[in-house]
Formats: sequence, structure tokens, C-alpha cells
Amino acid sequence: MKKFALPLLVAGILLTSCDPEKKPEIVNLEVVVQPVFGAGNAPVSYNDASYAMGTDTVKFTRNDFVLSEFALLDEQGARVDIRNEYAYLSLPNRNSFTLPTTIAAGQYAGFAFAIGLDSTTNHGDPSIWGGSHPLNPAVNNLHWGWTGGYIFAAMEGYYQKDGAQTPWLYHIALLENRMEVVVETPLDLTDFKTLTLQLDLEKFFKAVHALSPNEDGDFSHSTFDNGLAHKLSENLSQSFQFASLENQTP
Amino acid sequence: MTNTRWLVFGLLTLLVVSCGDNWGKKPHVTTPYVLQVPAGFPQPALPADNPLTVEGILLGRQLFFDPILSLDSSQSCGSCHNAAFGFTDHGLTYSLGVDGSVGDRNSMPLHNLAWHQTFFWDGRAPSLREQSLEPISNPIEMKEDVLHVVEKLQRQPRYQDAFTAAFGDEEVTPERMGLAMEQFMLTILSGGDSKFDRFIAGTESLTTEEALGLQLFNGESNPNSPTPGADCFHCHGGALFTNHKFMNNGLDSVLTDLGLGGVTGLTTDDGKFKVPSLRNIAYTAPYMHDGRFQTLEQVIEFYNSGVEPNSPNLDPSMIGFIQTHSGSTRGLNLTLTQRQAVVAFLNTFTDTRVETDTLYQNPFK
Ligand code: HEC
Ligand code: HEC
Repeated sequence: MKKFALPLLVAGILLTSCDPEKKPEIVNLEVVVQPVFGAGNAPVSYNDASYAMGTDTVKFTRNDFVLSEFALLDEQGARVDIRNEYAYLSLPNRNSFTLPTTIAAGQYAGFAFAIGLDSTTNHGDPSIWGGSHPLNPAVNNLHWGWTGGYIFAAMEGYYQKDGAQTPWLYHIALLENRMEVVVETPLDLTDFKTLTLQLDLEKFFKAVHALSPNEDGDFSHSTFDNGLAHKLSENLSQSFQFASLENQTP
Repeated sequence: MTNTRWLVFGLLTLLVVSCGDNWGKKPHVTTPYVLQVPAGFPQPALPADNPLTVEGILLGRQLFFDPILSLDSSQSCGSCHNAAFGFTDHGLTYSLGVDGSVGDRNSMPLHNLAWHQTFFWDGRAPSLREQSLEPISNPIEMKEDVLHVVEKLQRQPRYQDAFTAAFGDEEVTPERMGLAMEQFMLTILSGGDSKFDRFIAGTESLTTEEALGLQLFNGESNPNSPTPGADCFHCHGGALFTNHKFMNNGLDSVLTDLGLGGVTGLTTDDGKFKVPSLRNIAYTAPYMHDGRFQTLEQVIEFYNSGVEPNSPNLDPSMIGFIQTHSGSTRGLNLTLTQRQAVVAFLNTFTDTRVETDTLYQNPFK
């Protein structure tokens, strides 16, 4: 009997792994963020293209983020947390990340995440993170150095002021400006999928508060800014929307 | 029982086959070298395909300091990267090549390179191994054919031994030269032992002037804020005092050197240069890619009042430098005392280890 044990086992493994009907029990999720200006438009062309926004004309040069507290929403709308995962995005080049294969395969009703970090992580020792970890200051360039804490979203570009190209810069930081993003949409995660979200940069200037570099100030480091960073954070948290969900290409 | 016997036999065969090449040869053993990352530094992403070894580093150090790499054996890498000047060129604005040609950029300090991804002021070298072969053939530097250097090295017993120790046999190739010099340069550190680091570690305190400098360095220039700031941390922030990016800090409104734009061909990169680390800054005068400022006072004066708002691709992080503060002209609007405080703070980054650590010095002396 023993003689057959090994061949049987091998055959078993082969059979299982070849079964085309077999669906995984746990899956990962790749998330791609695609920057656009105006819903449904072509991806933003960084550095050179100008976008009209009311009386302003803006360019984008930097959209960097630290993300954390990922969750899926189940069909009752409750959060299924994906803990201890962090991502750093630097659009348009570094525009994706993959959440690990710990997600129970199934149907979900949405995806949520935070732009920014909880207080403990934000003020923890930044030198503990490995060479390529998203929170390593040498990877993300979003750590404020000795003053402590990370910039959650670094938004930069140029606009036209009195006919000349002038920079605008908004660095959104500090706990009170941490952003919760929730994208409600049916998500069939019964297999390994890629979720593409659009970041609508037009909404960054007007989702909740209509703001313009010319009229409301062209820079903020989140302090002494008459609440500008906070308003921008409220806009940014409303600027993400569902674009597509597709099978991962092997 | 039979099964086990077959298994053992199979394993033995595998072992024999996989050792076939080296059968009878002594295995090549190297001594791993652990980079002592200074306290407070982020972890570096070291190249996985070139692990640091004591033997590799020593070979790299010999190559770095050996004038045999140049056309007439008059110049080594160390000629333009002198440890006593923080691995820069003796205070020269532009370096001189073997034939006396004058270069067009200021020599760069070589420390904490393990945290950099691209090299040179314009980022044209994607790795240290590739970078390190460039000066050899550069006509305004060592002006020598790399393959000729290979021949010269092969003839020397010292290098036959050193290549064998590092790589397992005597073969000299440009690739191996690059790997060895990469290893040596990855080990040169500045940090952990400056006054600034001792202050962070709590073992020494800053003077009142230096402490004001620290506050200004990390403070933002904002006309709405009651406290002044010099906005330096955006680009020279963190333990390494650089963000390793390529940026335009507004030196000129008309560009003579395109910097990164000359490499990528994109006009949106024109005027961008590597943000230099400010560690050991007191050692490395003169300053900027063209060495235009002789002193740190001149550098601060530039940042205080000389930033060109119309410089192409002026980095948005320079926005605080072109604000108008109430009742003043455009600029940071720092007083003389405040400007001196920033300089005093920059002087706390000096780590004399570059001069004293025997691991960094010329092995032929
Ligand atoms: C004639 C003087 C000279 C010689 C010789 C020389 N260098 Fe340089 N080095 C320079 C200058 C000038 C720069 C900046 C050049 C530029 O950006 O175009 C530089 C830049 C570098 C950099 C880039 C550092 C950074 O932060 O990006 C490295 C690394 C370097 N040199 C290593 C070497 C090595 C290794 C050798 C010997 C094989 C060498 N150099 C020989 C003058 C020299
Ligand atoms: C927008 C980013 C940015 C900001 C903000 C900035 N720098 Fe720089 N810094 C640079 C760049 C880029 C260079 C190299 C420019 C060149 O050579 O073309 C540089 C060069 C220097 C140098 C010369 C280093 C060398 O090795 O030649 C010093 C010193 C310096 N900066 C200090 C400061 C101080 C002090 C502040 C604050 C008052 C500051 N910087 C703010 C980007 C910045």
C-alpha cells in the first residue's frame, strides 16, 4: 500500500492544481491609481500639460501619498480591515501597490483607505523601516525630518499668475488632516484582481470647497494657512472614484 | 527502506553534479562586510547582486587610489575626491584632467552613496559600478582606455592577488573593476559622529546660535507665520540632509548648464540638479554644480534674497523663497543674525571620520 502513497499524492497535487473550476479561497488585490483631470478624461500629463480651472490654469508636477488602513466593505457595509499594510504612491510613475494574499475571496461592496497615518506610526522612529518599505523616508521623501511626522499628501505644480508661471504647493500633514477615502462599488473578488481607481485632480480643487491658487493661496505646509490644508484634505478625500476591476494578467 | 536508499543515492548524485565545475578546486571564500548604518539613518537598499566583502572593498579602495587608472599614471580618483576635503577636489571650482583640461562641473563629495539611486550632478549614471568607469575614459579627466587599464592591471601581481581574493580568480574585467569600486564607495559614510549627531543622541548640546539655526532650517518661510523659517528641510531634510531628487533651486533665470534636462532631453527637466547632501558641507567648498559660491555665507545670501523666480522649472518647494514678507522685498527675509545662525548650524554636520577612518584612506601611503 505504502508503495502507492507517493505517486497518488503527486497525482493528487497535479489534478488539484490543474482544475480550471477551482477558485481560490484567499486572494490578493492589486490597486492602481490613475490621475485624471475631470472624470473620464485621459490620464494627466505631468509637468507639461496645463489644465483650465475656472480663471486659473494649472499644471501638476508632484502627487505623492502615504496610504494606510486599507479595508474592504462587506455587503452589509461593514469594514473588513487589512491591517499593517502601507503604500507609497508617487504619481504617475509609482501608481500601484498590492495588498497581500489574505483577503477572503468573495463579493464586497467597496474599498476604503486612509491618506496618512495614525498618530503612533506617524510619530514613530522612521529608521526602523527596511530599505524598500513604503514608510522608509529614503523611499518616500515625505518625512519631515527632525520635526517628526510624515506629509500625507504632497501636491505640487504651477499656475499662471499675472501671466507668469508660478509654483503652487500644498503639503497636507498633521492628524487633523488625515483623509478617509471610501469608494463604494460592487467588487467581485472571487479571484486575483486589479482594481483601478481614478484620482480626479479637478475635484482636488473643488469637490467640497472651490479653491484656487490665485485666490485662496498658492501654498500651505498645513500651519498658518487659514485652514487651507484642511479644506484641501476634505476635497482630496472626495476625489477618488471606481474605474475598473479586472483579472490580474499573469 | 528501498525508497530511502534511492533518495540518498539521488541526493549524492545531485551534489556531485552540482560541484562538478569546482571539483578539486579550493572553494572561493570571502569575508562579508556589514555596513554600520549610523544611528537615525534610514536603511539603505544595497545592491543585492554585489554583496559587500572585505576583499571586494579593499580591491575597490586600491583601484580608487591608484593613478594607474589614468592615461599617464598621474591621476587617481582620489586626486579629485580627496578625503581631507570631504572627498572633493581641494577647494577647486573645476577639476583639472590629466592633460590640464579644465572640467565644467564642481567635484562631488562621496559619502552616503548607498542611499543614492543615480549619480553625477545631472544623474546620468544609473549605478556606481557604471559611474566608476566613466572618469577613466572621460577626455577631460583620466583620458584612458578602460581596456588598456585592464591590461595594465593584469600584469601586476598585486592585482592578480586582489582580484583572486575578491572574485575567485585573477581575471580583470571592467565589470569587476566597477563592482569593486562600487563596494568601496558604498562604505564611505558621513554621519553618527558629527556635533549634530551627538546632539540628536543627547550627548552634546548646541550653542544658542546653532539651535536657532536648526529651528530656521526646519521652519517654513510663511508670511502668515509669527516665526521666521528658512525652508531648507524640504530638499535637504532627514538624516541624510538630501532627498536625493533632481530639482532647480533657482540659481539662474537663463540656464547655461541644462543639468538633468541635458540627459533626459525633456525641457521640463532643464535646470534640475541633484540635491546635494549637506553632511560635511564645511569640507566641500566651493558650492553648487559650478562651484559659484566660495563660502556658506554666500550660499545663504543667495537663498535669502537671490532666488530667481523666473528660473525655468523652479521647484515648487522654492515657493517660500519668492514670497513677499510684509514690509520687505521678496525672499526669506532673514536678519543677519538669523543667516549666521543657519551657517553655524550647517557647520555642526562636520564628521571628521572621513579624514581619520583608515578604511577610507589611500592604501598606498
Ligand atoms: C578630474 C577630476 C576627477 C576624477 C579623476 C574623478 N572624478 Fe569623480 N567627479 C568629478 C566631478 C567634477 C564630478 C561631477 C561631474 C558631473 O556631475 O558631471 C564627479 C562625480 C563623481 C561621482 C558622483 C557622486 C554623486 O553623488 O553623484 C562619483 C561617485 C565619482 N565622481 C567617483 C569617481 C571615481 C570612482 C573616480 C575614479 C575612477 C573618479 N570619480 C575620478 C571629478 C573627478
Ligand atoms: C527646492 C529644493 C531646495 C531647497 C528648499 C534648498 N536647497 Fe539647497 N540645494 C538644492 C539643489 C538642487 C542644490 C544644487 C544646485 C546646483 O548646484 O545647481 C542645492 C545646493 C545647496 C548647497 C551647496 C552644496 C554643495 O555641495 O555644493 C548648500 C550649502 C545648500 N543647498 C544649502 C541649503 C540651505 C541652507 C537651504 C535653506 C536655506 C537650502 N539649501 C534650501 C535644493 C534645495
